[in-house]
Amino acid sequence: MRTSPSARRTAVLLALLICGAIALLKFDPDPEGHPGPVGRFALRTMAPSQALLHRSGARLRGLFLDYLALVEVRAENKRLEARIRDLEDKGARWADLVVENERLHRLLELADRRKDLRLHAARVVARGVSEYFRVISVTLDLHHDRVTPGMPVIAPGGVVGQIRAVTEGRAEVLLLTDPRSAIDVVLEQSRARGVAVGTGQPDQYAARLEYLDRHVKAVAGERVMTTGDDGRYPRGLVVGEVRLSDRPEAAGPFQDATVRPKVDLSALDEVFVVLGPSGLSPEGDELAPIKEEAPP
Amino acid sequence: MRLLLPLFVAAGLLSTQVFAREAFELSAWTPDLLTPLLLWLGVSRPGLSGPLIAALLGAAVDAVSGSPLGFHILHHLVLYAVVFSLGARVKFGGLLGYTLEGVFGALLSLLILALISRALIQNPQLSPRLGALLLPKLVIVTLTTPLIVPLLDQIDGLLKRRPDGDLLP
Repeated sequence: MRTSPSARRTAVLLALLICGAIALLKFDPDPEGHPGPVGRFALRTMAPSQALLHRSGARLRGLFLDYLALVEVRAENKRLEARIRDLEDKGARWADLVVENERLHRLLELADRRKDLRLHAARVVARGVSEYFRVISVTLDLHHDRVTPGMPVIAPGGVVGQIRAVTEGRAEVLLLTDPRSAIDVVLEQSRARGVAVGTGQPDQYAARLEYLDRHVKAVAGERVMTTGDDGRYPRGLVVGEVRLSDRPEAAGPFQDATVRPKVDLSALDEVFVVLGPSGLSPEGDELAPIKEEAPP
Repeated sequence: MRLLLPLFVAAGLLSTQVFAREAFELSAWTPDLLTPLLLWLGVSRPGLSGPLIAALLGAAVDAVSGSPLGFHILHHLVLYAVVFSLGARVKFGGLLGYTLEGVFGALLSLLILALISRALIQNPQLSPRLGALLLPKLVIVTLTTPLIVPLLDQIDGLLKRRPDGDLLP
């Protein structure tokens, strides 16, 4: 314990102050415990600085909370962006599935419409890169050995072309617009006959209608059908529509016309390879066997 | 100047404490910056300035804390008196020493608060609250004392070299 005069003065002051504090505690508050005159004076004195500290502290807290909220918003934004990307992917996939479903539906309708043909489905996997030749590649399933060159290939719109070559699991299809393709055709209304020979034009899919009799009044837009006489394409398949030439007619027995394929050959995804006749009518009825006449 | 220094420091530490409490809603974990100051005052200000500053600081805390006027004045004065009576015996020096000083100050502060509450306030709600304050106060004062006390020693050492001296003996 300190005993110097200075320490004694300090101790006396301390004792006085402690007594004063106890007196304040005991006697300043009113009977209900509310601050008395001295307490109110102290409150008034400190109130401005306390309010200032409160405001600035609250402002800092606000900034801090805003920053935290901003960080959360940023994280939320990233989550939402990822979710949007995911949904967009799913949306695109869904749209793809819808389109594929429609395509397959049309393909099934075709198979249902042509029960007279044995059809073999194939998926288009590649397109020829040549500017002159027009071919596509299709995949074949386990029964690819039943597919042979020369077999017609059709799609819901009509004729696509014919099998050009078959390799393990794949086949190359010569499109009807390839210059090497020739299909015996008849115009649906005018009944004029001709041969649709591919043009191989690099800017469009088209075939030239050759040997079309000049005296036949072909109607622009009328359907061009297979005759079945070339021994390759079954009768009654749609090849395309007639487009008559605007150029002055050249001299000769035949008129100028082209065939615009009914099938969009640039956007093929699935096709049917025609393996041969099924022995049924197009509606699926059994065909009556051909009776052989007895020799006279 | 040597009287004004603790006053400025006390005002600054009290403002920091109030500000931190408002800004971060720390409640019981608000940094207790005043107990280290009172420890330093008790050891380094044996004159008349020490008790006066402790009392003023207590009054300011009473005004901003909603406690009855005199509660913190008494608390600070008793804390100061105990440290003053022990003098250099509670000044150990070094990081460990300041830490021990902080532990001692925190426990002493809580003990004094408990005694004042029991003897003069007689509010049954206060004792459990003091129990809840034990750990936060112990941790915080133990951590802040090694920061504040050496800093005040350094500033005081610089001022002692100047001949203006203290206004009060």
